[in-house]
Amino acid sequence: MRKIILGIAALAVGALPVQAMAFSTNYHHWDYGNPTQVAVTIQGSVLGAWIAPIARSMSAWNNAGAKFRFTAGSADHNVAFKNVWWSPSALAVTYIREWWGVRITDRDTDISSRYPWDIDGRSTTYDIQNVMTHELGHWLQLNDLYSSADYWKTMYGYAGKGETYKRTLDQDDVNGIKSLYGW
Amino acid sequence: MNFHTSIFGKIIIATLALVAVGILGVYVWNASSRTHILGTEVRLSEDDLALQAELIIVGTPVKSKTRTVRDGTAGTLLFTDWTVDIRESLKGAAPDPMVITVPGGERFGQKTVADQFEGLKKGDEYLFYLTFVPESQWWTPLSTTQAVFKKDGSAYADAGNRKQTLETVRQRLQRSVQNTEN
Repeated sequence: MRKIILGIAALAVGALPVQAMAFSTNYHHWDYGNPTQVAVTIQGSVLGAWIAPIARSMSAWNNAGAKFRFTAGSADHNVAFKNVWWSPSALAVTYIREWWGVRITDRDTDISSRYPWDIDGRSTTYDIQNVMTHELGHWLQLNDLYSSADYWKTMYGYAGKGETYKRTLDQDDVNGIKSLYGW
Repeated sequence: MNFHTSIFGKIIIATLALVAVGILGVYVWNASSRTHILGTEVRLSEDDLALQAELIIVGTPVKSKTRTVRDGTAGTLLFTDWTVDIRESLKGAAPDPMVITVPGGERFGQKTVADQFEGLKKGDEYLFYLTFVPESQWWTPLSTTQAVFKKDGSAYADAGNRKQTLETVRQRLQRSVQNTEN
């Protein structure tokens, strides 16, 4: 009996999650479609030169092979450039509104005007496409990752000047969107 | 004639019932909607925290009050003002009372959740790196995940389990003063 208990305990310990998380989500989601489509409205406060990089951020998720599409359009889901005055260290903030804690009803992202931005990954600024690919992951209900083992994933919660690797999804980021919306 | 059988009594009871239903309705309506806040932050090293913070204190939150803020894209957000008893001030002159405002809170069923930040807990001790927000005239952590360190044994740990002791903080501040003088 003792051996059986020890064996079960060993299996349980072995099944504990490793420090790096594949992806993190609470599985709340947009209403399902075939595919699920969400329109992204880019506000006039966003510089014109940023529209194409933001579109590429949307394409990164659209091309992940999941039944989900970001589309350009007019809806109450906005991307704006503004002073995020209440958060000194935020490069961008995404607000997620849910109905009864399950269904997503609205998403908005503010890109902070406190920091310098550009579109070509130069070392003195933050890259728009890099950060917006991460923020659009939040629109899908993927959470931030903070373990050092998750550093190279799009959903890693910190970004640096000149950083561009978040533009390209890691396999775990792809697995995240597929687990939410199917493939 | 009893109060509740009189016309006056019935009107009063009906009015109170309507008010109660109205309050319950507002609460249920608010509770149906929740706002989460997530995002991307600048990575702050311990040296960045020491340099950028205008106030560095060790203290214990003792009471809280939630406030509503309306902000453009964000709509309505809830923030919580925590009154903090200061045990030690490591940098800057802390005001009295010391009130620290953090995102997140609950009010009449409405809820704002700053994901990845579990919030402050009354009675726990923290090491705070704070900055003053002129737009709102409040003190807030430089980052809720990187600039709020909860007491963990003899050290303090942030949300990413990065640890500091007060001695290392003092040494870092001393170095930054010496670098400035040089």
